[in-house]
Amino acid sequence: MKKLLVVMLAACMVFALAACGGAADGGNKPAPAGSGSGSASAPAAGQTLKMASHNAVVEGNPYRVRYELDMQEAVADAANYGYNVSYNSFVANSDASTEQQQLQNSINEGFDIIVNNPVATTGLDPIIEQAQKAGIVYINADCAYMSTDVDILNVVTDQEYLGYKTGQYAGEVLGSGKKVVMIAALEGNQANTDRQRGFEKAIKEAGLEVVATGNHDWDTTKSQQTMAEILNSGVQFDGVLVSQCAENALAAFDAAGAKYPGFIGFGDTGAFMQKMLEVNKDGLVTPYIVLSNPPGVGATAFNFALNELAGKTLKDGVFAPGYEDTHQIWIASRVCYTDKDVAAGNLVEGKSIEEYANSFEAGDSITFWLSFQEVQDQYFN
Amino acid sequence: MSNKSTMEFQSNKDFFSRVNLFVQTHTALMAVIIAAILFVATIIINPRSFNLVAIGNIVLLTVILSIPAAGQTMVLIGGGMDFGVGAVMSATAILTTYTMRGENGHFLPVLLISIAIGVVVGFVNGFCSVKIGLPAMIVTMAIANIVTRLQYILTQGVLSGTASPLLAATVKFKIGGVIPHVAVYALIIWPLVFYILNKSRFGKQLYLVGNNPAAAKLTGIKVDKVRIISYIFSGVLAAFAGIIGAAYMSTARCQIFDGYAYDSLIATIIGGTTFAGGSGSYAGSIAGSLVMVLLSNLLTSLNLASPIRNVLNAIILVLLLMLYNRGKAVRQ
Repeated sequence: MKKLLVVMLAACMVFALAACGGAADGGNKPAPAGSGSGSASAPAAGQTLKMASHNAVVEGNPYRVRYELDMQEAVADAANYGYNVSYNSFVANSDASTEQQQLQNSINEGFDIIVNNPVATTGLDPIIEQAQKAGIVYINADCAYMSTDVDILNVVTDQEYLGYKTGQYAGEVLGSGKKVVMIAALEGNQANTDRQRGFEKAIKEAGLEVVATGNHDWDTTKSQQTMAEILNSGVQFDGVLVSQCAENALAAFDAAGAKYPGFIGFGDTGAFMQKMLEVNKDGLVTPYIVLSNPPGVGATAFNFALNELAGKTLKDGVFAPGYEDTHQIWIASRVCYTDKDVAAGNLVEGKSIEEYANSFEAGDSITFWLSFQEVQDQYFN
Repeated sequence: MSNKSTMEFQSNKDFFSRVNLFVQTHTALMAVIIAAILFVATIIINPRSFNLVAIGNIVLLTVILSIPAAGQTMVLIGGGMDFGVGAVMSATAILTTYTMRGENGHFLPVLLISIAIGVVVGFVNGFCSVKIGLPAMIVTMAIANIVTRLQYILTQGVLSGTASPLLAATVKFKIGGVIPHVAVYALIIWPLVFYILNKSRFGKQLYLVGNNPAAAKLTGIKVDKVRIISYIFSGVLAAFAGIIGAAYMSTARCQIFDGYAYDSLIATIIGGTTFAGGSGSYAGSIAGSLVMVLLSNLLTSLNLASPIRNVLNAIILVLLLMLYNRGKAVRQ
């Protein structure tokens, strides 16, 4: 009996541990023949394309969960443009060797498209070259891949803009010489590096002084803890610059019973948008900024891959200035509003800001992705 | 060597022996002393850090960490180990926000279901490690993994709902503008755990079981039952801590409190409870929780870059463990 129990529990544990990285077949309905032309890899009529979405991490990260959900929506939407696409998702759990093995497996399995949200900014050159030799369209999404030795597209959000816009607005509402706290995201992550460059540029231009720093690593608990510890330190500041997870930083003020700051931003979740409306409902208490860092960037990257597969060529000048060598295409933030827009009664995505903010679940973040046609119109000849 | 220098050497040796003996025999007090040193160091580095907001926050975070540390203490005293407290906390935090959805009036069902989750997970952990004999570290991690997978299955990884305003107020509201209301929970849980460990029959049996299971068995104690109950206590306390954590955070995502498995274990060990079992105290674990919170505070006051801060944090914790928590296993 004991032996049987041991075997059953061991099997249960192996199953549980193996569940860390699995594949999910998104499937798709049959659709009319593809419309691609010109490329050697252009899909034949009635052919089902196989797309592999590789992700450094999904679990524990609502942004990445939304990233995959948007990817599934884009795959389904591709049918409207005549593409039959089957979808598989692979998660490396931030392990570079697992990522390599999974990419190798996708090459061996004959996938047509690989969209990779990489674990690191380098180290995949040989496997990328191998994928390209096998005729696979390989697109890097979300976090830029910085090697200049491979010829791939980097489809990423314009992170520098997010940092710059936030710092700029903070400077506008606080004024020159004011003191701010800077809570960045994850050190070493390319998106964070780009975003911090924007923050630093705006901080310098606006004449703000950073009096305390921290990192939240895109962890909501850590964001609240870091802000709480900065409050504990007794440092005097006027505003809080935070690289997302702003609602958690603000929750630290609630928990501490501390006075809200003179500025906070940026945030991009339903919780932040709703909280700021509540904070400012009886008059402006804390100016703030909402910006979109869309998880849908992966879905947009997939539509770049579809266009490439269709034999389309990129327009001139689509790469971000200064990042032409790594072929970075920066997708602009679509949603940007501040407390001033709320006061002015401006609309966001055709809705009042109250209606827009309340249409989100607390933890869901603002997302959008460019369809096959939108990508073609904006970036391809 | 002259007589004088020999005497000085002997005198120094005696002093260090006495210090070492004090450190080894007063581990809980040592944790309090270390906490005091950290607090004073933080104030010296940054005098502004001595403020009411800071004191309130330190109390709040210490109380939250001390609750899973209570369960961890019981399990360690019984000779086991529980790496599943973080997963249980995360699960009940999600249950809390998902059920309450920002509305008052759902506390009782949330509490009952959470306790049930804690009992089930604690029992499974205890049964697998005690009755079947699987390594406690491996089995509790594996069960924690299952609890985590279930969080994703139920929520699809999407964050949903918020803790009720009333529950949030019972944690965040400041008594006299300083002491967070969560201290009231501490006034209930701390004495309860003290009673269980130091006064109840179960507590006495637990120490004996952890110290010498063979001797405990010979005295008629049902060793396996006592150990399994310690895991159940750990599960229930972690489940309750998850509810409190949800109130503190307002929202909860999958794996939100997984880090508490590590933090509560370190806090417990810093407080003098050893892996060997049979020794330790809850007072030490509370002091260990305070050390964890104050150490994090101190490193934030230094305003260091995140990687350096993390390295320093790890080095200091290793040094603390090396300094005074090297209890020898008491095994037959």
